[in-house]
Amino acid sequence: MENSGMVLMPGGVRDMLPAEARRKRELEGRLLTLFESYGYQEVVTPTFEFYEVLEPALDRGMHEQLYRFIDDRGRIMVLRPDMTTPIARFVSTRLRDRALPMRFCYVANIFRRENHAGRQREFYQAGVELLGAAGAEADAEVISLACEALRLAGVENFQITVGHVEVLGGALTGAGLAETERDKARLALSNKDFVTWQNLIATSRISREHKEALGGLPYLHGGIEMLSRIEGLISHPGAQEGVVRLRKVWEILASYGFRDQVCIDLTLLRGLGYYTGIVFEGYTPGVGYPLCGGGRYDGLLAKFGFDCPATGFALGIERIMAALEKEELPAEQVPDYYITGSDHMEVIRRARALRETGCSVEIDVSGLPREKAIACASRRGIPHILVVE
Amino acid sequence: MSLEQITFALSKGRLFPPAVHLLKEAGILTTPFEEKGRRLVYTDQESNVRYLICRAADVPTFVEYGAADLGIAGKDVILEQDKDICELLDLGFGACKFVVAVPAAKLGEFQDGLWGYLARHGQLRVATKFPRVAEEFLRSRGLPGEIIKLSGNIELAPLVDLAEVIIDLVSTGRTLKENNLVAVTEIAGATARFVANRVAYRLKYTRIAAIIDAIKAAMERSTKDVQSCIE
Repeated sequence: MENSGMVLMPGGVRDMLPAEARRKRELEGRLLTLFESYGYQEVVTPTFEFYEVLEPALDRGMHEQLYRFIDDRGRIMVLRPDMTTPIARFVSTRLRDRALPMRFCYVANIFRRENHAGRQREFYQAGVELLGAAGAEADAEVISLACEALRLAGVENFQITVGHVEVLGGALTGAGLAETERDKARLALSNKDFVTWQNLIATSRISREHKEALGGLPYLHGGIEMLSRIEGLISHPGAQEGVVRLRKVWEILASYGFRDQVCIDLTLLRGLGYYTGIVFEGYTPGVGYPLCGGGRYDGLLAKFGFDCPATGFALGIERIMAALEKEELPAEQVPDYYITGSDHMEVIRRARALRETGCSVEIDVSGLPREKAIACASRRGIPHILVVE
Repeated sequence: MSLEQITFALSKGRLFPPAVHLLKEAGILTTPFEEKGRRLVYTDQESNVRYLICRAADVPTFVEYGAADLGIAGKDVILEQDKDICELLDLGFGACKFVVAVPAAKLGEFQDGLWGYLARHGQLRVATKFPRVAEEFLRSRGLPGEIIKLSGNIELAPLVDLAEVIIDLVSTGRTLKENNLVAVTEIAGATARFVANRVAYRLKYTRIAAIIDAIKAAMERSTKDVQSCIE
């Protein structure tokens, strides 16, 4: 192969050139400011931790996606595959005595061995965790914050789909499906394999009414009114609570002004075994994968010995940037001033004075001849070029 | 109200005639495709559906990335690729199955299954075009085996002692027979599936739900016609 000066890069990681890196930083800054305006404080956790510490708390589906390595003492380490688990770990171990609820936010790079569309192996997330609040008000705050974040990022046309994992589980139990059947059914829905779901329901021994209602479930999607279609099925108390919760969250979201952006889909699961209540994802036309996702995970902190309800969400920074790229062209930054001159001390002094006024200033450090330096700066579109004698 | 535009990925080949037939019956394909045309994109003005013609194995990819909202893909392709897409309906046509096949002459050695064979022989090499399906199969049975990925004419492998068995997709079984191979285990059946991008399914729900209903109705009306189309 011809050596074109390229250096090999592993799949799933990428460089960001200045224009893109700037847009990313700017987007992250705006998101953090938004999160802070809701009382969420930024936290930072280590990029890698002990595998044995995080492992019991990770989502079952996550295990095959972990990047593990062995340190110099032979201990297994893992690169963080999300931020929720490290935050749950440090809250459980270090912040137990603080008053609840606690609100934390982050921007961080995440590492997963992914093979699906739109998923890098190192990617950036911005998100929040609301810990110690079990009510619908907390669910609604987090969902509306996701809406605010998408709007703030410039994604005008978005939709949030909300589900509740207990409603589905309860509907399956209430219809009389055995545990193994329920697991298979949930797995089919989690894979979005409606064909297998329908076959499972059709060949099970439940009543015809239940078959009809459950079989059609993946094809239902809409406003709060669709809950009435399955309410008759639900005798299971956990599921009934779930329906009540969905209605309540729906009402509060209306107060936030986001009712038109929200849809209900009871087959939304977001993986298995991690979420315990409300779950949601955000979409926009033209991007084939969710921009954000989250939900309630009341069981997670208990895995670190601290029984505490929690909810949160994460936005995919690259995904949002991909959604926006269709609207605007990225621009590289051009400084406000370019200063050159024979007296370098004076150049530095002038540059400092201008920077103190808030301007961005580049100075000549290459000792270029004056004409060449001016030509170079003007070609780059730098608005002010100063020559200091 | 005008209908929201939908992009639909179709593949020429085995699934094409029954798929076109079904889409016509469902009223979402109103303009005829040229039989031997080379165009890759057709727009059906009346139903406002844009059809992409791609390779069968690429339909799930177009759909996963959202380049197409909907598609018709074989379950065989979906199983092999493990894409993150919604499988909305089993369309019933294009039936085929994954099987483990062995040379007829060596059938005796496989009388007590693959484990029996392994108990007497050191190795089990599996030639296949479908390495993921093959690996999943071996793993689910706890069978140690080496997977040899080939691009076609899998039947050759046992003849030249490249592999002991093959895992292949069969519809009629004629190719196996012609190469003196016998299916010993059926792994999974596969039919054509109506698939959707997971985001499009939610954002264009109203339109897609209407298309699902139209396809279901057409399937019920014309099960016989579709059957005769498969042969």
